Amino acid sequence: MFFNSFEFAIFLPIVFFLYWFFAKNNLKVQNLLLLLSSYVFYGWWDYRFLFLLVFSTFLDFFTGLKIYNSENQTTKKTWLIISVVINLGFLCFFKYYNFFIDSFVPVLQAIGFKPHIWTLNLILPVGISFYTFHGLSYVFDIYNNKYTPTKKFIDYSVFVSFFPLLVAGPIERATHLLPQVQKLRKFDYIYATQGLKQILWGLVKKVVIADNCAEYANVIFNNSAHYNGSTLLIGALLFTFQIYGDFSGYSDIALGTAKLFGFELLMNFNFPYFSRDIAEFWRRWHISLSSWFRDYLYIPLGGSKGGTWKKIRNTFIIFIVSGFWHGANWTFIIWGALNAIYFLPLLLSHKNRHNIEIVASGKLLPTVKDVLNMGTTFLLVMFGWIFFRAANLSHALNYISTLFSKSLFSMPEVFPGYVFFYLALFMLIEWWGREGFNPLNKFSVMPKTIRWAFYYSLIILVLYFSDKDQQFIYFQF
Amino acid sequence: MKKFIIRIVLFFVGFTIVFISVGKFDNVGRCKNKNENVKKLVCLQNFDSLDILFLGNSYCYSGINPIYFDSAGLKTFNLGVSTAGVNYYSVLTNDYLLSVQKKPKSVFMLLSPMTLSEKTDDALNNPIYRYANHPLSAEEYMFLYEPSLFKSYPKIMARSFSRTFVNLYSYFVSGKNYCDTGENEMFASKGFISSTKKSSFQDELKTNRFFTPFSKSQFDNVKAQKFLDLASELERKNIKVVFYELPSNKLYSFFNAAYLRDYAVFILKIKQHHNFIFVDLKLNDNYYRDQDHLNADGAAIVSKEMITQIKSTNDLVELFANK
Repeated sequence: MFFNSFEFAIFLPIVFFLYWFFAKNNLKVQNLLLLLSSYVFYGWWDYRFLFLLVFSTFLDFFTGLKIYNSENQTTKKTWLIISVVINLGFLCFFKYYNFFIDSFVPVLQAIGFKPHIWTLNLILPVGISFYTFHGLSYVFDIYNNKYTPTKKFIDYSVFVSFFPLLVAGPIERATHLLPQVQKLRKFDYIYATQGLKQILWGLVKKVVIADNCAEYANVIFNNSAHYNGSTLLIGALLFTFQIYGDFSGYSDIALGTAKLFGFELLMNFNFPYFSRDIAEFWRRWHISLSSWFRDYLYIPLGGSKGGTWKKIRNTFIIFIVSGFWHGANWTFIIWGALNAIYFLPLLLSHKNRHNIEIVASGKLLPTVKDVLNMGTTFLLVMFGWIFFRAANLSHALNYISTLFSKSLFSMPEVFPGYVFFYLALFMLIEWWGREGFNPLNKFSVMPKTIRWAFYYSLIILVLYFSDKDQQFIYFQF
Repeated sequence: MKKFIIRIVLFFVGFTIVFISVGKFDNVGRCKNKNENVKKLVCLQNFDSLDILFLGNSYCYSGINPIYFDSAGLKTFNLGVSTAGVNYYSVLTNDYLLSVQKKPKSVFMLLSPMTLSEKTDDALNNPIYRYANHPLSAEEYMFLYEPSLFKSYPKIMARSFSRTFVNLYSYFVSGKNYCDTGENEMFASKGFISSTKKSSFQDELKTNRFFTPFSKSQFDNVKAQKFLDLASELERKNIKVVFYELPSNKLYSFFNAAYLRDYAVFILKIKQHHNFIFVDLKLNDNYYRDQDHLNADGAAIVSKEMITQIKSTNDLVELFANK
């Protein structure tokens, strides 16, 4: 079931009604209802993979208890390794098996081996990267004595399977979400209306921005060999907004939906395209994944402590692994490495934490320096997205070579004016609301007539463009 | 909670009232509407006592030029409308019959792989039933022709909502009145939309996105049956029904093999009970204005070829009677 589908528009009010009318005074019923709803939500896509989700849930619940109850460090470590190996084993099998076969068999053959290996026609279970990371964070936190495991399987299952975050995050932490699962939720009017506004803004991002950009970005990327440089620039620009609208739109809908049920999820995007350097960009883009890798990979490796080479090594590791997490393709690895290259100068010159606050905080307009920094960061990010979007490395390299040819200065062959109009309007609203978590909250101070008229317009825009039916990009990860 | 529910209900009731009532005015100012399909409909009643009424989609209005039929002594009108399939054929035929004094001798219905796919009768982007001389509401159209569209009702009404404003703007700003014979080119061209453009590779790239989804299309048996039903209904009214297919450039390459097999079986079935004219000409890119639509040169050749085929079909010679 997708957030932008007719089915979800029916599903959500039903679950909401049952939750607040029949389960409002009973925590067990609330959690049981959320768990069943989440399994229906997931099973709607393919019920056969539900067993994998349940197995993964049980594995981490069980190993979490074992780690906690083990007397000595060796036993704790053994249970941790079992959990990690099985979790990553499933992830690697479904997501990376064919990639390794395709990539390394030719290498083995080249050095004289004759491996008898076959590729499989595997379907990637939706959300596997996300729920695997939920589970891993839980066992890591128990192993590191940061969290005491729950003994209630239903509670833990809700933490892993809660439908708003099940298929594309945000990647939650037990320390943040599980305490909320274990406490009876009371209905809060302001919280619920904020949730609805966030859902609406998420739908605008997805349907009005991302899907319209996708329509043209797909044409340009899929036929890039036939277009001139200026058209390819437009293609890269449109994809830059497509992926932002798509993924942050999904996150907004997830956060808003969770709020309707009394939960607060981790913020996943914080106006990343207003970043003034790459370090700031990565603090604002897919925050839950970046912080996951920071806490469970980067810091255990030594983080930014130690010598220069160690810093360089750790930075490359975290960015490349992050790229590889997105998919089994060399393009994602290069995208990760490229971002490491962008990031390293800031880290080595100790400038990676220069821009913490949102740009032009408390002001209407940015300074010229801010504009230049934002522009440079945006262009660097956009360049990276070419690798992310390309079908393979040669496609990316050909795209870039045409992009930087003389034809960059010719007239574009595709120019969707109306998309740029909506993009400009969208970025203005984002700029206006950049100091909050949702730009629509800015309208709360306006008279009800204006506010409602604005919300009506947004709903009509969403309905108007909702025939494109594009899937969320991050479902494939 | 109570406050939340009341506010939500009020919000959505208000929204629904505004949304649907504004959308009901989407066909305001028909005579000033610049859409080619609408321009065609506003002049329908001027084409009475036809020998042939051509029905079809954009392939029809680009590929059949009534001027050539005039010279051959056949009075025709090209009622080809973008995306039209069997539902729209039915809507258009009914509207035509209600708009004229004397019914046509024959109705020629275009068939192509496209007309049996789910992409036809595009109620979302081209709700022609709203602009007919005897318009249907969106609800009536769905109820009578395509109940499955109720799932897309909000989307359809969102388009109607925006169309209301666009049409109101045209109504107040446009100086032209297309109900006037002198201002609407459809009167002179008899529904044919001419183009002198020639297909180019860049054009093909732009239009590819419309065609590529056909690879996943499934042959619609319900629509196929509706074609047969519509033909029977017209024949009961003593109107001769002829099915025809026009040359296409790359259309067939977009459909999957199973679809084309089902389509071929359907054509065989049609041929058993009805006249079927296939203008099977292999024309190069110079005769197409884009990926697949004929340009004026292509339409001239195709129209002449069709006249030849009509003349050589015993059953259709009567169309030339009383000339």
